[in-house]
This record gives sequence, structure tokens and C-alpha cells, in this order.
Amino acid sequence: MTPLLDVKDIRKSFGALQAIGGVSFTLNRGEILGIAGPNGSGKSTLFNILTKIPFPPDSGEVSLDGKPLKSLGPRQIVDAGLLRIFQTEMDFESLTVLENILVSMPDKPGSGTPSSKQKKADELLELFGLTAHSDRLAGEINVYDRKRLMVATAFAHNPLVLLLDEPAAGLSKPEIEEMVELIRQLNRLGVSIILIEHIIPLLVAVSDRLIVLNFGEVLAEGLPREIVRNPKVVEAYIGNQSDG
Amino acid sequence: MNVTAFNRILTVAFFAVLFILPLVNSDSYIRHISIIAIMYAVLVSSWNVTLGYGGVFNFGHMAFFAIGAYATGVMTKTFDVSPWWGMPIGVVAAVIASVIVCLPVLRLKGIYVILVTFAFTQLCLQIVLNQRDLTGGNFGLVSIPPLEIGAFSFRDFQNAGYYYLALLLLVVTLLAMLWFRRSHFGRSVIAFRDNETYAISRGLPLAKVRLMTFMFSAVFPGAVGSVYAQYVRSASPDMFGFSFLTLALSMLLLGGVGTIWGPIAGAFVFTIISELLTPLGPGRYLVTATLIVLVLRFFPGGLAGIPEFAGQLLKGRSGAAGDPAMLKDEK
Repeated sequence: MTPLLDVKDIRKSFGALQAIGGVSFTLNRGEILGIAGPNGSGKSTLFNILTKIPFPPDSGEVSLDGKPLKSLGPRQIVDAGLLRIFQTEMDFESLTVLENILVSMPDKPGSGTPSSKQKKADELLELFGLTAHSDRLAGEINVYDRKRLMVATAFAHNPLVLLLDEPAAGLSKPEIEEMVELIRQLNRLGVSIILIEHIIPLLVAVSDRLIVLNFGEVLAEGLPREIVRNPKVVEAYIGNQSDG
Repeated sequence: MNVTAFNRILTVAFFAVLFILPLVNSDSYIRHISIIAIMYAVLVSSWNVTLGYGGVFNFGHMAFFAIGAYATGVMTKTFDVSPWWGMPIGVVAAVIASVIVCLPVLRLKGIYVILVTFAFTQLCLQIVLNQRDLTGGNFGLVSIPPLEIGAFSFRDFQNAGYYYLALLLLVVTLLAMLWFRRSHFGRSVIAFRDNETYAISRGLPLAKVRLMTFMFSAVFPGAVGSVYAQYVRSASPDMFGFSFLTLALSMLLLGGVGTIWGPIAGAFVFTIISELLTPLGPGRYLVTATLIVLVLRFFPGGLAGIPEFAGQLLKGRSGAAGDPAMLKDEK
């Protein structure tokens, strides 16, 4: 079976510093792939170069649904169906929550009438539990709601693959549990997901497979419960903690 | 009564007063100041699209006004085109100019946009000064044909025709701004101002949105520049000048950027205060500048922030008076 996302030997360096050094992996249709790794291991850089926001890889091949992304710009990659959320909350602060979703929907001929878009936006508000905040400015809602809004705006663009960069960072335990359920729900709706997360129990709970990065390279790959017992992974984490 | 209903009543009352004004007052001085204030309101409201909603420091906006005026003057005076083609000519010329100035700044930010757009204005000024046969050079272009319908000239009855034409332009501008603020296009413009990286990550096209923003905002100075040239029957190099630019910028900042009513309020208040202070001579600039500083010190959102501030006070939330967050843009 052809993978939905096929990443082959991508590399990125900043001067002498190698941020990503020859990373390859695949994401199958309907799969949740977890990515773990100590701080500075290149997880967020990987998302940056996959989406080319803000920079592309130095080399390597990425294809989405069989279509190479090399010649595409950041916006074309988004239109192709590869969308991300960022580690820190981002929004269009002077637009309302509803407008944040509306502006993130595709705006091409045949992408729907204003009323159909409004209807879809209302459904998304409901799905993401944001209906009560619909008319509030995005800059005025709390961190958890802003994180949900960020996922909702990505989902509004009809993604094939969602790249979630630490969606649970800074959340309380009940909020993390809700976020886990939301990720599963999005996956059930047919979206394949790559999830970066520091909270290992969350990763293990939702991921079908797990990749661990260290110093910009794949340290281990496999089933989550096996990966967390992998001695190399344990050493990378413990070594990192004792360094810190 | 909810806020929307109140706003509608206020809007209708505002335009009703402007509509009735020439019928109850025929003083030529008041008529002239009213026409100028209305034209400034159109000019500043449209500048608000790029500078306020877009956050793009487009200092070429006044050049679009001057280009609209000169294009109308040259075509109707030198080439004998009907004055009724003046406004379409002004609009087309301003929009073409906006495309020319926008292309180099499609992906630039901040000070670099100011630099390029201001340089464009100066370039236009040099062209006007050098093409003396066509533009009148330093002396400006004079005796531009006025608008007429049969025997009725728009200058009759103390320029009543120009007054209502300018008022019609303001109504159209306001409706266009209300449409803009509620449209996908308008939301995209604001999205890029709020967070460019995030906007790109949601599939919004930066270059296309910026180009459309410039073109859309240039329609109105092109139109009002044309009407202004036909009203005063001249176009002068001063229209490209820095003092004219700073005057309009003061109106925008005083009224409140990124709001519908702020620029209109700023244009009217500034024009009226400037006229009231005329007896002070050059001292009026000092007073005006002080007033702007005081308004912006206490209402960072400009005049548009005052109603919200007053509303909060009436609700007894005096504790929030110093909170700049409450003075945020109106939708």
C-alpha cells in the first residue's frame, strides 16, 4: 500500500549545525504517528521543513498522497492537504473565533457558498467545543480554547495530514484528556496525524506507531509500548535530563 | 436597544444631517469646509484598508489621490475627454499606480514598505514637475473643466453638486468598508496583519491579498482625487507633498486605525478643529498636535475608542478605564 506521506532522507542544517540529518519515515492512511525526542532533537524543525513554513529542507524527498511536494510553495502544500499547528498558540487575534475558522477555509471556485461555509464553520465550532466563544475575539479566549481553535482552523482547510506540535503543552490534566479524545475523534473522521508531544503517556495512548528523534536523526521506530522500553531511547531521555 | 441598532440609527442620523446641511445653510465657507471634510473622510477611510486593517505602511496613498486628480485634469483639459469620464479615468489611473507601487513591496515589511512607497510618491512628483507641458509643472494644472449637466453646473448653488457627489462617494466608501470588513478578502487582510506565518499556514496567499489590498484601497483616492480636481479646477504638485501626507496620517491616527468610523470621525474632527483654530495662525499646528497627543495618550484606539470607553464608564466599570485592552478595535 502506498503511504499517504512518504518522507525520504530529508536534511536541514543551519551553518555548521545539523538540525535534521537524513530522516525517513512514512505515514499510512488513517494512522497516528507519534514523534518523541529530547529538547533540541529536531522535532519542530521537522514540521517546519515538511510544510516549508518558514523554510524548506536542504535536500530529500517528501510526497503526499503520491504527489511530490518539492516544487510546491508553503501555500500549495497547505492546499495539497498538509497542515500543521504550532507549538505556541497562534491565532488571528483581532478576528472572532468564528472568523478565524471562516478565513481558514479554502477560498477557491467551487469551495462552497458563503452560507455553506457558515454552516460548516458552525459545525466545526460545535465539534471543537467553541460554540460559546463564536463571537469573541480570538485574542481574548484562554490557552486551551486557543489551542483547540488552532486545530479547528487547520481542520477547516480539509487536511489529509495534520501535524500537531505539542497540542497538550501547558494544559491541565482534564484538558489533556479532552485533547486526547479530540485527536482520536479527528482521526476517526479520516485525518491522518503526526503528533509531537513531550507527554509520553499521551503519545503512547494515541499513537499507532512511534518515532524517536535524537540529534536530528531517527533513534528508534516501532510500536509505542516497545519504543518506550528501548534502552537507547531511555538513555537519550535520561542522558538529556541529567545534562539539563 | 442593542449596539447594532444603535450604530444603525447613528449612521442614518449622521448622513441625514450631512444631506440636510446644504438645504439649511448656504454659506459658501461652510460648504467648502464640508466638501473638504467629506473628501478627507473618503481618502482616510480608504488609507485605513492598507495601513489600518492590513498593517502595511503604504505611504503612497496620497499619490493615488494626486494621480487621480492629474489623470482627470490632463485627460479632460488637454485631450478634451468629457468631464464625466473624469472619475473612471482617475480610478483606473490610481489602480494602475497601486499595482506599480505594490509589486516591489509584495513581500516586504515595515520600514522597507515606507521607503519604497514614499520613493514612489517622490518619483511621481518628479514626473509631474518635469512634464511641464502636460502637467503645468510647478504651477500645477489649472482650468480643469467642471462637471455639468446641461445648463446646470456642479458649481451652482455654492457647489451643491460637488457637495452631494462627495457625499455619495462617502456613502459608497462606507458601504465598501462595511463589505470589506465582513468579506473573506477583508478577513484575509486582517489575518496577515495579525500573524503572517500563521496566515500562510492556513493557505492564505500573501502576494495576492496584498496586491488586492492596494488595488482596492486605490479605487477611492482615485475617485475622490478626480472629483477634487474638478471641484477646485486644479491639480497641484503639493498633493504629492509630505505635509499633505502627514495631515491625512494625523486624521487616521486621531480617528483610530482598523475601525470603520475612526477615520471618518478623524477627518471631520481634524478639519473642523483646524478651521476653528485658523485665527491662531501658525500656532494652530501646535494646538492641533497637542490635541492629537492627548487623545492618543488617553485613548490609544483614537476617537473610535471613546464610545466604548464611555460605555464602560456608564456600566460602572471604572476600574477598567486604564486597560488598553478595552480600547481595542471595533469589528
